[in-house]
Amino acid sequence: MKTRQYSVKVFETTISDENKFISFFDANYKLFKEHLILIKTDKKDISENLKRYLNDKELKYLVNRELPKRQSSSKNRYNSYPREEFQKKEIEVEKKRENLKVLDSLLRSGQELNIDGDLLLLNRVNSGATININGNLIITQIVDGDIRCNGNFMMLKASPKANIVFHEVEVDNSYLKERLNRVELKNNEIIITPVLKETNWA
Amino acid sequence: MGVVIAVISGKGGVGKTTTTANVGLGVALNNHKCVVVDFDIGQRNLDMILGLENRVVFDMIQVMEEEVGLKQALIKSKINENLYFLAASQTKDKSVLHSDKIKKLINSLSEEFDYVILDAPAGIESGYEHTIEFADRAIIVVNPEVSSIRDADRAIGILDSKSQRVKDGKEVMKYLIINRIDAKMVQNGEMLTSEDILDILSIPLIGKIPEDKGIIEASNQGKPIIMDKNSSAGQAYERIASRLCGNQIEMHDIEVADTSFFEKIKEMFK
Amino acid sequence: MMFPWFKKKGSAKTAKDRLTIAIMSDRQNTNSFPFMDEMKAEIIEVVKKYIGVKAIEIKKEVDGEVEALSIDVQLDKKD
Repeated sequence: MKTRQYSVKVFETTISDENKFISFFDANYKLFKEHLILIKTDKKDISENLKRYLNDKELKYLVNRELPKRQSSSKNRYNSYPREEFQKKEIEVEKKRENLKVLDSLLRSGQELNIDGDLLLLNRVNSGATININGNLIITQIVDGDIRCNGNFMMLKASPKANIVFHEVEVDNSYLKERLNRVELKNNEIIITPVLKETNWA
Repeated sequence: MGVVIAVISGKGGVGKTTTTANVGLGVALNNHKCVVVDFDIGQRNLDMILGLENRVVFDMIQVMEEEVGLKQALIKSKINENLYFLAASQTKDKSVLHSDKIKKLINSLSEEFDYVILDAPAGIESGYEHTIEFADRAIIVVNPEVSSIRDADRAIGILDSKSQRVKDGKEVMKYLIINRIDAKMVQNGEMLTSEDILDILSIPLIGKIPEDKGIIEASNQGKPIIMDKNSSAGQAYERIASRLCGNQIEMHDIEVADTSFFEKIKEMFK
Repeated sequence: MMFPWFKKKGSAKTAKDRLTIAIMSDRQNTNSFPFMDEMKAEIIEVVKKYIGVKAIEIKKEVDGEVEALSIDVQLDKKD
């Protein structure tokens, strides 16, 4: 007998209006295409139309099934949450805010993001990529590229290759080496606080 | 319908053409009908690596312009009857490439063959964009070296935004080949490790190929190195072709230099 | 055990032979030749002295054993 054990990312949602569901998925396809979509509906099953849509988009789904859920303690959030669940929760919560963009994919060399508003990037920024942003910025993985931020704060970890500019001031990379560093402006001074020291992720 | 795979790299000289030839031959040796196409307009190279340069009569542009039929332009390899080859044209005018004609050619090829492998030009200009436009999958070839990786990252970014498949809401399956790995340099910390490279590029690895002097000899003679059962690069290409065809093959840890006594003796005589 | 100094004859000679033939046939097939751009520029200058030139196209034509240059001069309508 051959067995394998692995984790699956799940996105659970209820459907009332199938068209709203389809336009939500059209817009956020990239975030969910590797998730198992768990659909809860009042009806017995979803329509043929929706089934066709999901198959065309190669999205895997289950309807009205219960899946075993992992227990998680509410202690130190960063240490106890497995990384996948941390990402999922952030997306659901932040969806409600108006001006926050959440991105899941890495930023490759040559790509440029110009953002008016806040950004949460759940991936890395490669060398040769640029982010110009007027709002707040959180990047959860390493930054090798160029960042220009004019928000109230940014949180990131930068490698020696990166160019980090905060309110027109070039930030010394040696201060951004910890796992996550908060950079903010207070009384015309740039304050950098390590938020999270290097930790061993699960 | 066959699967269309583009072999890309961004930077030139990292092993795209060698990879196209050897993976193509490898797939043919696995009993699949395969055609390799040289998309490097004006810089015909795949023919020499395959040893078919003296058999080229018609090229890809002539087929697309309907000056000649596809069957007349396709060259069957003498090494394995499952492998066919379509040459690049020698005109350097890249404006001869039209998306609709390319689509037609690629459709005809995928009707005939299980695998259609396209050797992309280096760089990220229109020639490259035309090559990836109708690809189902892509093999990205890199060397463990900073500019190769930066350029590959760029090329992947463009692939993920410009290919037709992506525009249709699907994804182009990507595989990474890390070519010209020097085990000693990796062990001495003088060369990027595969982990470093995978962290940055974030695409699945399909194979690692060691530095192998036999590659030059192979191209001198027009005999792809996969034919040399004793060569380490040849064996690596065999494993890659096999994985591409769906077989599960363990990754060999080629970054661990073989330090056995016998190897040390061999080193003395090199 | 194989003695490495009894190697097969080098493949560099094979490579050189193959390349020579391939490059010769490449050169025959292209429509250009050395100094084509310089020649074009000079011809335009000369013709311009007498009449307005819009464009000039120079091609090498090979017909079996005969090699010829064909020169197409597009005149400027104003003159």
